[in-house]
Amino acid sequence: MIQAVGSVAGWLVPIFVAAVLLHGLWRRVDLIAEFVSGAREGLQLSVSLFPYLLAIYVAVAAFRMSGALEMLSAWLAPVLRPLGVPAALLPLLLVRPLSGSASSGLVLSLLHQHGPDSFLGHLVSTIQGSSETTLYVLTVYLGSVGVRRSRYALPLCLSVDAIGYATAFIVAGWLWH
Amino acid sequence: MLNAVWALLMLVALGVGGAHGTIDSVGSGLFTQAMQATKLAIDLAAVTAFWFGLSRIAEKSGLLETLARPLMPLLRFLFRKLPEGHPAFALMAMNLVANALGLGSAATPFGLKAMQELSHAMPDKETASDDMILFLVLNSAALNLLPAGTIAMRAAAGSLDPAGTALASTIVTGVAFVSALILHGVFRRVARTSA
Repeated sequence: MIQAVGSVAGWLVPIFVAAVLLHGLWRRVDLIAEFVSGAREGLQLSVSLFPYLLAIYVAVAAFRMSGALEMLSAWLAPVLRPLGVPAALLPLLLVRPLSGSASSGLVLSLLHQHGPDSFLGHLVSTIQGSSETTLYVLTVYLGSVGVRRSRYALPLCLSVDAIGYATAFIVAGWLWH
Repeated sequence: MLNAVWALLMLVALGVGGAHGTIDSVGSGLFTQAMQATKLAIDLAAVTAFWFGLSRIAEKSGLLETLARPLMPLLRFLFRKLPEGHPAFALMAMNLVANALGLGSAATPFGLKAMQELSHAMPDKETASDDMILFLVLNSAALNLLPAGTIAMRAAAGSLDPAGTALASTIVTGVAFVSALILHGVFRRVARTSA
């Protein structure tokens, strides 16, 4: 099951890249010029995200190395253990809707610490890949058209996020545990 | 909010480090971790730049627009109050498709233009309409077929199978998408009766 899922997913990226290039060639897009200008934009984004990545990475590492994370885990263990939720996951669930760069930093540090192919590595990847920076999306999208009263938008989006996290946990448990 | 989370992490770490005699490793760890973050950021920047380059080609060739077409019947069903042929339809479809393919950079401009069109359709500009909120929740629970950012991070962390969680993410976003539709109906009804 796991191998089948992995090999199908492994084909996704190469097929997509080939499709984009062939379609671009067919439509006579200047492939290299557009690629370079897009890549430049991606690089600029990475540069502007770096300070956030650094900030969150260092803070999370310090929190872990000081023993504070172990203390927090010990406190929360009686609540979380019956549900089977790893305590290391908690900061990600709290930060994910707030900040894309902060949650990316958290995911990176969790992947490094626990290994990307461990259960936790698979779980955080699934969560990261299936969720949005809800607060950011709401702020930017509603702000761009001058909406002040968002009505039920926030509670609705956060409820859907919570359902997504729970589903990710169930799916990851089914595939990788 | 994020400010408070960050300050709390740092100060608790330094406080606990001081109290538990781990302050030496916290102090030296700050710099080794900063270097570690920089190495990771460089790997990540390489993959992000590649993905942005590719998404620019897909946008210019019209591939995104072609992929958006099959979504139109679904959107017409969901946004029944919008008149047929409203410009918001095509924009919302392209936003959702770009999101599904993990092309966030292409998705956002389409999404913002779609919001403008939805806003034009409403008399009260300062209050979010049911249609706007439906689009937002579909966007934030967006069906994701190719979580490119996550694949990049897994590759940067040395995974043997960077794309291995793509299918799991797709299943999760599928469940979230359906829940979003159902919950939107519930919240809209509650908001209407309480108003």
